[in-house]
Amino acid sequence: MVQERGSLLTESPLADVVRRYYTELGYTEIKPPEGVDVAFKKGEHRIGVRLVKFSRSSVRDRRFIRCEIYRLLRDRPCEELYIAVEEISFGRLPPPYEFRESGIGLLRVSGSSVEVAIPATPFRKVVATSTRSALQEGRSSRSVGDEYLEVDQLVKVVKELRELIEEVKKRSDALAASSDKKSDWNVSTTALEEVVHSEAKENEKNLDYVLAADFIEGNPWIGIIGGFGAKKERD
Amino acid sequence: MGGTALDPRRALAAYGEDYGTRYFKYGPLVEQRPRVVESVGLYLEESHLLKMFGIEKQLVVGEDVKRFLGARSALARSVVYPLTDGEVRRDDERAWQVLAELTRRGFDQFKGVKESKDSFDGFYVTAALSAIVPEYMREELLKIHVKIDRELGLVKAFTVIPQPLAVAIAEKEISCVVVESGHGNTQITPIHTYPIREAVVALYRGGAEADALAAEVLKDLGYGDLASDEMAVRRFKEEAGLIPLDLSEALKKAKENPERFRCKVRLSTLTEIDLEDKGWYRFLIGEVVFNPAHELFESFRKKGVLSIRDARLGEETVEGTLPLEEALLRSIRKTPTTLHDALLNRIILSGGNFQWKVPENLKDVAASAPLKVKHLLGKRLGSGVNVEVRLTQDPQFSVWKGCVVWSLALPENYLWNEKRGEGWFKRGVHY
Repeated sequence: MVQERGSLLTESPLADVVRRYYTELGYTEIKPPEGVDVAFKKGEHRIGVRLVKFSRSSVRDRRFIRCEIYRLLRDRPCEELYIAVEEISFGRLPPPYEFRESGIGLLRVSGSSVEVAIPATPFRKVVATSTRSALQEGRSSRSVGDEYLEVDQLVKVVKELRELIEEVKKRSDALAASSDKKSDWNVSTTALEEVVHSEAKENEKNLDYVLAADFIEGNPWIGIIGGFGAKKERD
Repeated sequence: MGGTALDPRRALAAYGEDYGTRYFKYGPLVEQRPRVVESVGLYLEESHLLKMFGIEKQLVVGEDVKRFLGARSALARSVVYPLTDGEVRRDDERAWQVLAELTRRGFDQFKGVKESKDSFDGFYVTAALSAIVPEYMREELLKIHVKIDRELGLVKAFTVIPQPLAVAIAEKEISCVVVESGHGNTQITPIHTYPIREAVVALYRGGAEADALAAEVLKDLGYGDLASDEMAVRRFKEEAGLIPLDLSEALKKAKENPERFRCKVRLSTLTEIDLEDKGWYRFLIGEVVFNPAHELFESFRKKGVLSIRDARLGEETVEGTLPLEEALLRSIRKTPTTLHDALLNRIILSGGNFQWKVPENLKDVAASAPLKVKHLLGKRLGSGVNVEVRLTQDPQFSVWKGCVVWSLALPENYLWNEKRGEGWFKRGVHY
């Protein structure tokens, strides 16, 4: 039923408006992967759009769209995914946070214009894992190679940063030794400890305040209750 | 502190719960005062669910109930007040669900404590229940708290104490008689370092009876439409109701000089109730908790407005209409004779049902609750007997205060004893 509903819409005015919108943004339409009705591409980035026409039942619509969100999340046919509807009717849509949390965007098609009601969050690539698994399998695809290069560059940057940190440390130590500022460093360390202590003291102060409540301070019951369990058998 | 060193961590983890018929009061000691929520739940019907965008809950509780109230006709079916006379029926599943949800919602508000402090591993929770609740109430509450701990990890240990004991603790009194009168019942509990269970006397009457009478008065005054509006009835009761020092005397004076006792109660900009020459009704509202057996209440009893059930305590039956001073004396007589004088000297009245105004111009006929009880006991025992009666300093919250003190002071190793129904029911030991 879901496919039927989508395929009918591929040639609808709704699809045409969405096509025009993405063409104007510089995207090229591509053959939609399974799970979306129309798809577009710019460089390596692909956007998939699921078109939804509302039925007579708001409950059914909401359920349908929620199912679509789950399915798109599971299948991830493109890097960026949208659900396009003809109007925003909150009775017919799942709550906005479901879109935001899932990362599936919402397009509102009104007449000949398209508005991004909730932007989609592109799915992240798990570079390290995919690279490792690809290398383990001994495959050498172009995209995997690119990712490997990215990782290689990152490793270089991290190395450089480490060297810089070491240099800064050496210089600051030398400066402290030459100008006899070692004691200041100690002072600052003590100050840091004091902050921690003062936090603890603050807690104690708060606690004093709690225990100074009129119904606690000098309450003879505290002694009586505190003695429970001291005797195994009470009267 | 009575020479006992208190564990600072315990002060941060002490938590109290007062399961009242009308309100559920809960919260940690560090907040100094409890949070209060109406003890009510609403089951949403399917049609509501369809209308409410994004709402998938079937049950809402406390303040949220007001947001979902639909037609009045739907209320009777959907609204659940879980406690009746301080108790929940064992087989009343919906009432237990409401109570569980109220409790869970309470803890849910403090889950941030756990998230922000790594060392925090849950609250020491003390719940207060009516002194005469059946065993299963405790058992069910234990289950509820275990379930909440599994969900939120916030209940490290749980225990239950009787409400009157909590009042005595909050009042720092070791030997006293606590008369706790809430919406659903009035419990008289002599205490001497622990409640003397054999001497507890309970009356199934409280604020609810005063409400019923106030509603009937509204009907008699020609405001029948307001009689079903709970908020209006309660407001009218609080504004107009008076405790007579002596009912017959007060009625006589009110009928002789109606203008003096006349009062107007403004419930809203559009609604004002004028008692006109029926100012004497005001005393009936205040008297009902003290002596519903008075002949003047006969007509109300016949109409079924006052149908107060009897309480069964062990093998004894306590009539629901027993005058308050009689109930007090019956309770004190069951304690050892050496305690009688001390107990008569420290009678503590607690609960919202003892909060009544005494207008300056009516001080000759109207009385505060302590004065009324002292007057009744004086009449019964003779003026030579020394009787002292006082109100709790904080009538609405004293039970919660007693609970948090209990949570604070009860030793960690004092574990749950099923026979006594006391001690910590602890995570890692019992669940």
